[in-house]
This record gives sequence, structure tokens and C-alpha cells, in this order.
Amino acid sequence: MADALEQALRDLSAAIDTGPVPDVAPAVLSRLREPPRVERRRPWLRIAIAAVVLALAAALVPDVRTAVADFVRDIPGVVFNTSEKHAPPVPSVPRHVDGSLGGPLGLAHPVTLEAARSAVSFPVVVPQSLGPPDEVYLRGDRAVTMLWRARSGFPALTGTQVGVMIDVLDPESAPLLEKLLYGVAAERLVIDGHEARWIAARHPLLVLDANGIPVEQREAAQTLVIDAGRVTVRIESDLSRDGAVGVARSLH
Amino acid sequence: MDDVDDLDDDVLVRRARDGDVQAYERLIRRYAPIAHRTAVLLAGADADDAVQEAFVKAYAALDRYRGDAPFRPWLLRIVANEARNRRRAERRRAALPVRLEANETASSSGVAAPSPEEEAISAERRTALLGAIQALPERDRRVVTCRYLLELSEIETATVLALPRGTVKSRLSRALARLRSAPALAGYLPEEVADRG
Repeated sequence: MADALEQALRDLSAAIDTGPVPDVAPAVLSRLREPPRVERRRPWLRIAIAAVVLALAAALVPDVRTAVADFVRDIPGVVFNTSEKHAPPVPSVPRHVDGSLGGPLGLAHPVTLEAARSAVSFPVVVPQSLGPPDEVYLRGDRAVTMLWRARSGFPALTGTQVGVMIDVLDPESAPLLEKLLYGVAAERLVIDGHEARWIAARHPLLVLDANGIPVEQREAAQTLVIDAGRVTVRIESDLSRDGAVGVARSLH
Repeated sequence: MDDVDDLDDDVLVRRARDGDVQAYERLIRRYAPIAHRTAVLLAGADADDAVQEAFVKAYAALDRYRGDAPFRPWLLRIVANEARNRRRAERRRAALPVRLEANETASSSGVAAPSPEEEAISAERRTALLGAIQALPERDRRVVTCRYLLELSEIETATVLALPRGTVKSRLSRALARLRSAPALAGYLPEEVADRG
């Protein structure tokens, strides 16, 4: 149905002049020539490293496929920014000292799981291995955050009493979170057919408004992010990769 | 220099991956125009930087380009990511540095030689439409930009924005619905569209 609006959009496209195209080739080529590409000169080393990584991964977690990537693809709802350039620092999340688990994480106004479920359009999945969450927060209509109190096997995240924090995000909404991963390795996993990323180190985490503008920042612990299809799930805890994968597998 | 302009992307990618910088230069020259347009329309400022950086990163990532998807959207995804990072770094939405050509007669009427009045109306209409696109929520704006202003296919749009194809479809139809009911466009679209949005 090529209607008038679509026709108008095509007309607009034809009329838009984005200005002269700069000749970037010389600059790009000189940058390519500057530092000789070490890995191209030593393909055997790359192959050996890849083989070791794959063998280790296969040995440790037989049905988790893995690849280390420096160009990390986003998962709907979560932006992985590996660029050296990123937003200038934004205010840290305001901490609420109100005795709640979420206060130190800048979360306020907890709701019940049922209330959260009826407030959002996506399914709020909960890992059965953890039982019901201790606190639940709505992040607008874009995500629901659930917290579990620290306990044996689930040590508290720095500065909190929280053992596990799980965000369930609407993949259809503008991304709520951006991870700044410059210099931090992100590992691509496929968990039971679902794309996932494992970030094994602490990293800055930005909260974005609907236009993608950062509004808050805090330091996040190691995190697993899974594209679970109808939702994206982000699991932050002190768990090992396999521990986090186990929690993800029990999502229901 | 032999003429390789009619060589397939895949051939050039393979040569570039094997260290043939001239083959990569051909790819740069082939795709710099659409890369530039993508960066300008998705990000606004700093497009030149974003394009340059994207071509450097794409070269470093060639080993991971497997050729199961076409090169163009694969490259444009890197451009779009670079552009977005830069735009975010600015933390504000600047006006697009584009010019609307007044003399472009791709008008919907299709009749020859529009009068000056008709020219003025279509220029005004284009300005309003571009403004309405800019006012869309980011996720909708990006899909409309890829699909209509960059004239990418649905599959290419999905690749460039790293979205499932179904999501591109649903966002696009939502975005078009939003545009149809945009107050800024009232009176600028033909009536059957403005009225039944």
C-alpha cells in the first residue's frame, strides 16, 4: 500500500542533500598502514588462541557456544558500547537510605510482582532457582527490576544488601541501559539457542532516557544479558559465568 | 591500476582480508557516499569522523564478516553504531545538517514544471515532514530513516539496526501511524492520509 505518506517520504528522501561526501579513503588507509596488524602477520597465534578458547569453553560448558568479540552486538534493550568515546560522565544514581534493598541502587517505590506484571506489556519472567524476588521495581514501562537479598552462595553486591539483581526489559522499547565496555571483555554466548553476552568484570552502566540520552550512571558488577525472545533479561550478581547461566536457564 | 569497480563486494572483501589494501580502498570509495548519508541522517554532527572510524573498524572486523549477509548493511551497521555513539556523546539532538533541495521535482503530482507556489508548498511540506520524523521517538526515527531516507530494504534495515525483522516491521507501521497523526503535518499530507491516520 504505497500511500500518500510513503510517497511523501520518498519525495523527501530525494530532496535531502546531506552535503558533499568527504574523501575519507586517504585518512582511513593511512590509519590502516600505521600500526602493522600483528594478528595478520601471525595467523597461527590467532588460530591457536581461538582453538584454546573454544576447547576450554566446550570442556567447561558443553552446550554453551562461545566466542570472544571486540565488536559486541547489542541485545534489544541493552547497548554495548565498546567505543573509547562515550558520553561524558553523568550524575551517579541518587542513593536512597530508606532501609530498602533498592535504595542504594537508586531504586524507589517498590511494588509487588503482581502489580509489576499487570503494569507492563511484556512477560516478567522469574528464575525458579531463586524463588520469588524480595523487592520489585517498575522502570517506567520499559523494564522491571527484581532484587534478591544476599544470602549464602549469593554474596552482596558492593555497597548493597543485594545478592542478585535482575532486569527484565522490553526489547521493543528504546534501550534502557548502556554498558561502557571500553577495555572490558564481553563474551558472546548462545544459551539454549538464545543470544547472550557475559561481562566478567565491573563496568560503568548508564541508564538512558527514551531518546537514548544518559540520565544516571553507576558501577555494575559482572553481568549476563540474554535475548530471551519476548524479553531481554539482565542478571547482575557475584556469580561466576556458569552460575549466572544456571540462573538464566531457570527463568520461567 | 586495473579496473576492479565491477568486482563483487565478496571478491573485494576476500582480497582486503588477505591484506590487499587497494581492494579495501575500492570498497571505501564504493560505500563512502551511503555511509556518509547514513551517519548524517542517523547522527547529525561528526558524520565525517564516524565514517572514518567505521571504515577502520570494519577493516579490523573483516575476519568476522562471513559473507552470508551482504557487505553493505554489515558495513552500515558499524557506521550506525559509530554515529550513535557520537550522537550520544553530544547528549543532545542537534538539528540535522542537511539541505532540502527546492528544485527537486520528485513531487507527487507528477506534472511538469510546478509553479512557484507549488514549489513553496512542497518545500514547506518537506520541512514539516522532516521535522515530524525528527520528533519521533528514537527507535521509530531510526527505522523510518533507514527504510525511507536511506532507502534500505526491510532486511537491510534489520541488519543495520541489529533488530529482528519482525521488530522492524512493527516499529515501521507504528512510526508511520505516528507520522500520520503528527500535528505538524496537519494540512501537509493529502487529505485521505491526514484524515484516516
